[in-house]
Amino acid sequence: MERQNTESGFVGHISDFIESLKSAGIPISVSDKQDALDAFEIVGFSDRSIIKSCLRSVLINRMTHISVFDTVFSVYFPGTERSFLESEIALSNTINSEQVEGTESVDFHEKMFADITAAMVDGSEQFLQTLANSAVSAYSEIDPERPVGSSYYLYKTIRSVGLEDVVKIVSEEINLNDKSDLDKRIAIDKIKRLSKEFRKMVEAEIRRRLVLLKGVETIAAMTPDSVIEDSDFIYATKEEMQAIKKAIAPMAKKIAINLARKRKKSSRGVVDIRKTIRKSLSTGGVPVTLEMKVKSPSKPELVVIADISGSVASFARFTLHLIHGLSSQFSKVKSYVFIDGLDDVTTIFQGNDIDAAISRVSSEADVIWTDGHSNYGHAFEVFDQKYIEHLTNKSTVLILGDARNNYHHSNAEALSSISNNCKRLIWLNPEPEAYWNSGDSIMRDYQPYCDETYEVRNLKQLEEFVDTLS
Amino acid sequence: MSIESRFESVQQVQKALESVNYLADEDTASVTFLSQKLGKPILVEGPAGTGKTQLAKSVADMTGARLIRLQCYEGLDESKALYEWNYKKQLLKIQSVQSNDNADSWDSVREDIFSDDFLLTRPLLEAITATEPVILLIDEIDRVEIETEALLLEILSEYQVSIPELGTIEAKQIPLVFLTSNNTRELSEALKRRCVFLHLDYPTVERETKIILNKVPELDSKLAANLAEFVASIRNLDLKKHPSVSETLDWAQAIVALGIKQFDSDSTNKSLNILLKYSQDIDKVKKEFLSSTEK
Repeated sequence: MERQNTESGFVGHISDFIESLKSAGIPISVSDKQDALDAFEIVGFSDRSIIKSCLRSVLINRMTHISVFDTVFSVYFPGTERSFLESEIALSNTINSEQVEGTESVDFHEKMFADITAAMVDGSEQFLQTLANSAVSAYSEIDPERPVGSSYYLYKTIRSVGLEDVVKIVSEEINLNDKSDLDKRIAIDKIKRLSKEFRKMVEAEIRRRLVLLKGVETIAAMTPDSVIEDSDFIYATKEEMQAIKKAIAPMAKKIAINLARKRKKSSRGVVDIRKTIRKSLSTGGVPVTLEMKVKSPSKPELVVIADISGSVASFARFTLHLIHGLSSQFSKVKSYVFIDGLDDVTTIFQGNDIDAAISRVSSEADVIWTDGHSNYGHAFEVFDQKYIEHLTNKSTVLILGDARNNYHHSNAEALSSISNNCKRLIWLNPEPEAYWNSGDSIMRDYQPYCDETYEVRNLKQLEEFVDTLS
Repeated sequence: MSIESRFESVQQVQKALESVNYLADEDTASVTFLSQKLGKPILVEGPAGTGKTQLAKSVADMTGARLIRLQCYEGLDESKALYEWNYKKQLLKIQSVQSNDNADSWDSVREDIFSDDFLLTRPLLEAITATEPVILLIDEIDRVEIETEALLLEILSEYQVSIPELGTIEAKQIPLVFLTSNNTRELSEALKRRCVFLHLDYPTVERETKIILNKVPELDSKLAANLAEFVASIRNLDLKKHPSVSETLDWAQAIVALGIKQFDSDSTNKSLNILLKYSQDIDKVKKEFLSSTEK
């Protein structure tokens, strides 16, 4: 019914929504858009969360894009869980009624604090949702004139509520009672999970109000969310790192597959007479299908040499995850890490526990030689002297680092010797190519000895690199 | 027609799934409903053991349709997935014609041996040619090579199969198609574009509690909630393999069988090897959750 009246406006709104998703980095084709419109036709407008599921299923096809979709959706379709048509009226009512109450008082604050604590202990998400809404009403003080985004109000509200204190107090209480450690631990995990939930609820509520107060376009422009494939390794936040980590495992597998392509049974080559005759028995002695000899598999050997110094700390974390992912795919991965000294960490990564491996790297690996600032020259020299016999003519060497040498000697001849002793030398640099050779970056000294160099700032570029391997 | 009547609304799909003991969340029910209406396959992605395959089976159960399953593996090819000519039968036919001295009619023999009678249908062709309602499940699509994926494109978008000797076989009815993937590699864009996407993650604590009670009704409801909380907690750890829903259910069953009434360190310690399959994982969970009781 609604549809008839608002046809053009509605389709326009969907188009804006899709454009917004696209500019966040999600690929959407024309037929996807048609499907989105069809989805509305099929399920109707009655239920916001069903529409959300349906739109997500036709517009998104990667797990990593889900969170971006959810944010953009909440901007374009502000509303409560069930409905989004009446939300506007409901909102103006709540704002009007709540603003009148004395929210400044100490009593109110204490009651809020106590209520949230109680809701957390009971695990009642519904109550938390109500509390989140009234916390936003009381503390966020959204001012439509101010040019700030939702994160400012989120911070303000969460701090006023004292969410961290709630978690702390509840956790302490749990620790004091005489339950077993197991029960305590589970209870604390639950509180942490609920506090995250609460945060999300507050954020969603703030965004909803902002959109209704300031209009979709303003908020859409202010929401700088982009998909995880586009976020730089160097500046990745903790949450982004988690998401990147998840995406690395399939990537490592792809690298393994691409480097091992030649193992595949080919349909050309030498006929395996024995097998062909044997198979022909089932077709009355007529060799209908030819069986080929399986080519002897080439085992790719991978040698990873990675900079784990402070200047590339986030990148280093990513690097270590990549090494770990590769180690689980290849039987023959040798890994070395360096800052200004270089150490063999192959055995550390052979276990399965990545966290343990990372902490062992920082405690056990002998990577500091003098001052703990990266020194590529010295690192390559050490590799050339101590580990060069680990390379064979089948090895692929992967160097991960920004080539910022802190004005030390480049020692390019050591890299040249490494290059001469392996099949292929690939350098992945986490900095934009435009910054190479600026300041203390000395890519130009090393580049002549690399078979290939790539700028790998984010997952998308890593994926492109992986595709070139095949 | 029976399939149609089962898809009236999202709520109805959810209820119908529940009646065959599959507790779908709203997201799953919505996407299942939509895919049937759009006539597009569903690509279900998510960690192992979250009920991806079970979803297809349950939809088959609830609609009374026949489930045709294609298990993917590395090296799967056309002759295993689509169709194959029955060489042996063809040869027999030729030999029998020759012995009857009907040598004049080679043309008719040729016509004959490339007909339906000599065609071995494999799951995909079977799903297309079926006259009764079917559900096609293409399981673990991420296991086939990227080249083999292309095999599926024609069938997934046009619901037809081209056989050079016979021509194009079109579907008699559009089957509901489920593809599952554990996301061990990225699927091709071409394939993804043809599907609606459903990400099936581990269930929330409440839903997992319900699932446990649904499948293991003997279990005390308080204990079931405890188990679900515990499993949710250890899924936050960085384990080699996180416990799946089916492993949680196995664990719940074991707890019933062992006659455990109380959820505590001791009972958990004893039965943890049912929930976790790697010794490193068991050690890690013991260290994190049960360490002080060990001392």
